[in-house]
Amino acid sequence: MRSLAVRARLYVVQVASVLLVASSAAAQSARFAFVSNEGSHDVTIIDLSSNKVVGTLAVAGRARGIQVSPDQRRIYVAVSDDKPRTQGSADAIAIIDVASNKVVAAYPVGTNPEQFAVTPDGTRLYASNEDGGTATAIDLRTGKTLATLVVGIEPEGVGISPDGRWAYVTSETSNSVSVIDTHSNKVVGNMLVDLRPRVVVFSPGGKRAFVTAEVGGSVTVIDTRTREILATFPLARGEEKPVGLAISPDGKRLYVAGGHSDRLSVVDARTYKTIATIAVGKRPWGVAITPDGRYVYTANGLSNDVSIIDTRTNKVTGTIGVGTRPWGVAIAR
Amino acid sequence: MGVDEAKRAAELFGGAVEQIPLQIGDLGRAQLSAVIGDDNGETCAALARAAARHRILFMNVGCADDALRVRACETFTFHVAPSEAMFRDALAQSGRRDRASATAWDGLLTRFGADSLNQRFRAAFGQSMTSEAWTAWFAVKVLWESSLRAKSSSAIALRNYLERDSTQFDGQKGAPLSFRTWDHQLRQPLYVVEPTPNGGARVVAELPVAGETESFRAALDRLGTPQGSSAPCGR
Repeated sequence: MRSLAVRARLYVVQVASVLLVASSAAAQSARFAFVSNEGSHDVTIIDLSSNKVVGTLAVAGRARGIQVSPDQRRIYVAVSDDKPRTQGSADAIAIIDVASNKVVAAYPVGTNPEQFAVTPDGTRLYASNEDGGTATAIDLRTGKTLATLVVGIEPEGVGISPDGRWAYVTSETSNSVSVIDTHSNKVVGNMLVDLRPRVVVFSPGGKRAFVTAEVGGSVTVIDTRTREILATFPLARGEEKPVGLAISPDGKRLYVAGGHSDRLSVVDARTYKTIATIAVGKRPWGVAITPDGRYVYTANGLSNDVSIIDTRTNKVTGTIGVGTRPWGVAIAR
Repeated sequence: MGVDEAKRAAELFGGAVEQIPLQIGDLGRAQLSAVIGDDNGETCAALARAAARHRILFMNVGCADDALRVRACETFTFHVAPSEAMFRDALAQSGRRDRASATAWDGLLTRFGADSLNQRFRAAFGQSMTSEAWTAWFAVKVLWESSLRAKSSSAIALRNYLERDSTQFDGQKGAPLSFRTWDHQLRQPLYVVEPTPNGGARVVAELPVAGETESFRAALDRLGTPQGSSAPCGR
């Protein structure tokens, strides 16, 4: 892992001048979007005040899952090599320090990490290992593996409740959501959801969890207290291919990336009615919303760009070219 | 591998799955709810009749004979293997004829999670997943998932669940897959492959190609026997 961090630093030197601009802007509380690029093995940094690319940061492999630390000071990126089923040197969570825009560490989390989530206190990270059928919990202060848990078949999405108590892991082949108790680090329950569950996101209050089902063409709503399925509602009569999902800070709207349909669906989180269907770039995968709820960003994997959607008008207001095969977006305050 | 995955899935929900090698004469055994086979038209026809007699499910994973779906369609039989008619339609729709053939699966498919399944299979058996391996894997998946969702493993509950209009499955082929009520045939995309100069084969088309506003189900029904050409299966 040491060699990974060193190599990443060498790349950083090449973009240091633009990043100086980014850092000074950060000091004035401007926000940034960080886009993971699976094809070009890097992270694109976008200044949200100008919607311009201000830097590119190389990582050691395919960059997929991307999240901001609760204190906004770090970006976590799931990086994997092209060899599934084996723990390669590139398979890790790379940690980017926002102030310096440098990769400061890379922690192993099992084979082929794709999606993950961080506890609200910032101390732990839970990642899915698609080919291993497991989820791995690590301590973010030491990088040590705390537990490797057997979940369903082809684990994918990871979400953590706002109180930090529960980690939900979706599994695409078994169509299940496993519930991990983060106190005991044990799987305490499993739920059947719709076909090919991809992403799980908790409502801001933590009472509900929303799970996209790519082949089911739907979103499943879970009551997190009783662990019962409250509803499974189709998007575009089940013809949509939902993958990424973001929820507005007030909990009222769901923004669902339609993957192969090239659309973003805006859904009322109470009535489950689709309010708008917006054409974005090709194969939108990851989706993120600004902390004020005003803009949504989608990572469009096949058009190598990011679409910006104004949530007041539900219209695309801009498109920004990024790296190759963008996968996810994370927004830092 | 299908059985291993079924065991793992069953364990998530506190159940158990058992694989029992069988001869056709064993079908009257108590507590059997489903059998999976076979690769020869005559045996498939005999299994379909025996399954109906003993009221257990027969999942056909290897016989393409159209006659099994239309004339001799049995109420407890479901066809995961594509029919001859589906293969013919896929080839015709691909516009490729000379050396092309149609198949239910290919070990080099990557989209819609096919890469994950192919990698798991290769890791377990050291070879590519064939069409026959896919149909067997999928039949096991249909059974364990149906028994979890129907909350029963009785043959009648499973049959009723498989015939329900809202029932569908993910076979790592992208589209949701379901069984037609009229011939109990699994709706599924097929792949057209052509030989390569080095002795291999490559996928050159995926059928059907859905229209802009066409539903997955309507598009998949353009492969095989259309509705109305036979009475509801076994009824």
